[in-house]
Amino acid sequence: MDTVVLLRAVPDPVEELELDDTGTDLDRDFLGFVLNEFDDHALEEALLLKEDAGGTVTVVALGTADEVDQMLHTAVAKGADAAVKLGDDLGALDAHAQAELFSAALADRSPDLVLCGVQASDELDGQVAMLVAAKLELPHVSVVVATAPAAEGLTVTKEYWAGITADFDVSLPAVLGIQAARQAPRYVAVSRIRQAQEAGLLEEADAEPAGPSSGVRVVGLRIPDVGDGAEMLPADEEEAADRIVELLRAAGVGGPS
Amino acid sequence: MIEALQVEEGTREGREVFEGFGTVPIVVFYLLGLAAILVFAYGFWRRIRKYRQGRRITRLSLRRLRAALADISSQRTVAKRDRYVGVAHFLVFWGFVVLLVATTIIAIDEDIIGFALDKPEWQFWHGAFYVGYALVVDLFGLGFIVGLVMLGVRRRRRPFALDYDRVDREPGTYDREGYSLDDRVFLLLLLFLGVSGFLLEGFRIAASDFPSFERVAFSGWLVGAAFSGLGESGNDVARIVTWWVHGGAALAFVAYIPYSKAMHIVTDVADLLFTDQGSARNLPAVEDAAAPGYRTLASFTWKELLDFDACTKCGRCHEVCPARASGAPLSPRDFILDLREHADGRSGMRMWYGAGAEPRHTEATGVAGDVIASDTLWACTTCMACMEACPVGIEHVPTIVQLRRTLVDTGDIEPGLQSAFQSLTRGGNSFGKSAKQRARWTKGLDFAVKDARSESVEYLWFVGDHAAFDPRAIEVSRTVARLFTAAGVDFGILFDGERNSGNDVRRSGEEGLFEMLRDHNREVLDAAEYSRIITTDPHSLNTLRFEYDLDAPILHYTKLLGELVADGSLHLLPLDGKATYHDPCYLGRYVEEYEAPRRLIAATGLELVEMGRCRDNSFCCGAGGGRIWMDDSGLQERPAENRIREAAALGSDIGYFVVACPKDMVMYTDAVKTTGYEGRIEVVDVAQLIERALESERVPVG
Repeated sequence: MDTVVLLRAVPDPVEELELDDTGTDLDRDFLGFVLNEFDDHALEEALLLKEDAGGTVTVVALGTADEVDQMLHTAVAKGADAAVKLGDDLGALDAHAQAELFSAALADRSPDLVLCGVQASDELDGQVAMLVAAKLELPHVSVVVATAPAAEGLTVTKEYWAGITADFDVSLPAVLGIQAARQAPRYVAVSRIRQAQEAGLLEEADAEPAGPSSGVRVVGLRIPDVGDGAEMLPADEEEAADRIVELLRAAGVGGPS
Repeated sequence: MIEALQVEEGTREGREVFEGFGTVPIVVFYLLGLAAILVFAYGFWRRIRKYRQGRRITRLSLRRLRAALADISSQRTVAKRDRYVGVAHFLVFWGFVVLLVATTIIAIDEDIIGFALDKPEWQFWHGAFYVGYALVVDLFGLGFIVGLVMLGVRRRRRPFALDYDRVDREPGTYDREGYSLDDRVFLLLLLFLGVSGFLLEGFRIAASDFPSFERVAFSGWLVGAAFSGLGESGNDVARIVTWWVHGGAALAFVAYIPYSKAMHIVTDVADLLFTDQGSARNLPAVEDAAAPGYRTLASFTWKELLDFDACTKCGRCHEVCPARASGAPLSPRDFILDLREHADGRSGMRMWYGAGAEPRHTEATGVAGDVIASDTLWACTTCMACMEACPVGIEHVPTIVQLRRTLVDTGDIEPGLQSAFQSLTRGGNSFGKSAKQRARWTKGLDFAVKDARSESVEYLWFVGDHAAFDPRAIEVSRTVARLFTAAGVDFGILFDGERNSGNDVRRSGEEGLFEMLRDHNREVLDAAEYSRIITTDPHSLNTLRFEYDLDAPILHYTKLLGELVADGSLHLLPLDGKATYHDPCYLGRYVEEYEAPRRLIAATGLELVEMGRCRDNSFCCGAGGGRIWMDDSGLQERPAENRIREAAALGSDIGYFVVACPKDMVMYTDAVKTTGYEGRIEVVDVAQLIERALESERVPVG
């Protein structure tokens, strides 16, 4: 089974995020970027599947940040067989533009399986995986928390609300949006990343964004207001309920006591 | 005595080795001797062959040779912190050496000069030499027996150190009867040799009618006197029988040595000769970057293979290990013994008592995570207490780190450690903070701290992670900055140019990440102008001093504060009360600085009350070697809690628990809360005490 994992760089939340002069984007000049956590899980699930059923894993990332090379080397060090960087200096891209570039690159690769993080910290509506599936006209399951090789295709576990899960038989090829891998993403030693870097497996492919295609335009971004802190409710249920009622009343909710 | 030494008319001082033996018994004895030597030689060769399979390193130095000779002859490493065992083993050691030399003298005189060279006129084992010989041998032989009895009595009392129970396995799932059996056989065999030797001497003296020159061998003389009732002929029969029993036992002992604990006579001398405690201060480099650490037995150095054989199971490391004490699945003793069993199993070396190679060991090829469980390897705090306590120079810590390197390389890693490594890769600190926030702690000061990257400074202050990011340690950093400023010290820091020094990273086995951090720091340091480096963090101190290869001197802040107090730059008025001081592992055992913090405490006027475990015997707080990043919720009692209880037991009037390490500040402020001593014991950094003593000057009493 040949799997492609789609990787995205997202702003590193440990850095102090600031808005640029237009007020519609982060000030990207001083941002650090890290691999989207959900994509890291997608990679882990792909590596686990490879250990289960053999095949290859190819990682494909958009060249939106300087750190992308390092992310791809890290993926190779973890066990990916090939790494592709699409474009360079692409800047910020919305979900539709990302999906466009990814599916264009996937079209002539015809993988058996495409894994992608179900969402990203800068794309919480979780559209990329399903847009890719739609463009490639492949079956799609999102919010996946486990995969297992089956007689035909895969058995895929999807998570619903309230801890409910359902298993799907998925015929391949297919696109999955990964919520979490079966186990925490593995650690790879720095010396291994260095070796992967020296091995020079990284393939660079041209990619030109066709411009915003979602029809959605960012009007403005705002740094959230900082509150005065939180109040911890007492552990005792009765006391906690009393306190909640008290707070609601103070806020003008409900009738007089 | 003078009378005893007088030569009797017509006799010559001396004795016949084979008195009253015919040719046949003599031939039989030599054949038995040859057999014993062959058995010994085979076992010895097997051992040497095993060490020769080890990876090559160079370990001989003249300085080490001198130290080893002093260690061995004084037995000071055995006597350390256990006078009773020290005295007993001293007697046994020197008794054994003297008896061995005595036997060798007879062999030279009798077998080489008398027999092989056939020059009876060159023989010297008679006359005044014989008398002196008899006196010395008798004296040391007696000491030998006394020492063995002392050790036997101790063993009967079952001290904790000699309890072979494992901390990592359920009772009944392993068998260590062979070990206990060998301990008893070894001790009793030596005792039997000593006692039968004196009996033989007594019977011989009695059988030869008490020649007066033999009186110098007073113990033998007294034994002979006790059996004088048997008469000369009765004693002669007893002599012949005892001769064979004693001689047979001696030959059996020779054959037994390489297959038993007795081999420590050889391996421990060698291990002390080749040991290097510096191997923990500056860990060994990675041999093969493509496969770091130790995957199979072939990765171990010959010194490590020798370490495994050098262990006598004395249990001192087992006793002092903070991991073992806190209920973690690590005992340095069992770590070494498991590796010994593995090495023996793989090389086909068998002990006389059979065991030594559990089946899983002979089958296993992997070491890290297989022969030694991952949990066991992650439990180590690298506090070096085991190496310090080991009387024979075993180096546990570097071997543990080598095995951790393999775990890291194969991704078999503790979750807390993984997230710390990821933070360190991203921001150069383990707190998951942006590198830009490193010097934010200086914002709490009412003066600006120099940027050592752009200005020349006398002291470059390498702050370290905890001192820069942990709120409790930040308080101490600010105190130190105020003290330096008050004393007019010209200092600066590297601001966001600094990264974690990599001490804990390297000890966690992530060599690649360590190199990345070290290279970055070295680059920033090389570009700065300074004359000395100073740090409040003992872990950084060790690594900057021993693992960075820098030219400038690197000091702990307690040293500089001491100078500032001594030269009057900081003027103190005495504080009132009692304090105890915790020696940080990396300041004490690693860098061997014990006095500077104590002098500072003395300068504040506080009365210092020492804990039982202090200085080189200090008990680790549990944070070193990357442990501070790992989950410690599974421990029965955290090492830091154990330590606070020790301090509390000194008396309720001990108000201050003084530390000199940012990690200690963090660990012990927690432990004081969890043990319920908050309000009674205050954890305070030595710099904070100095500042309070300064303040007391500003607010005169009365």
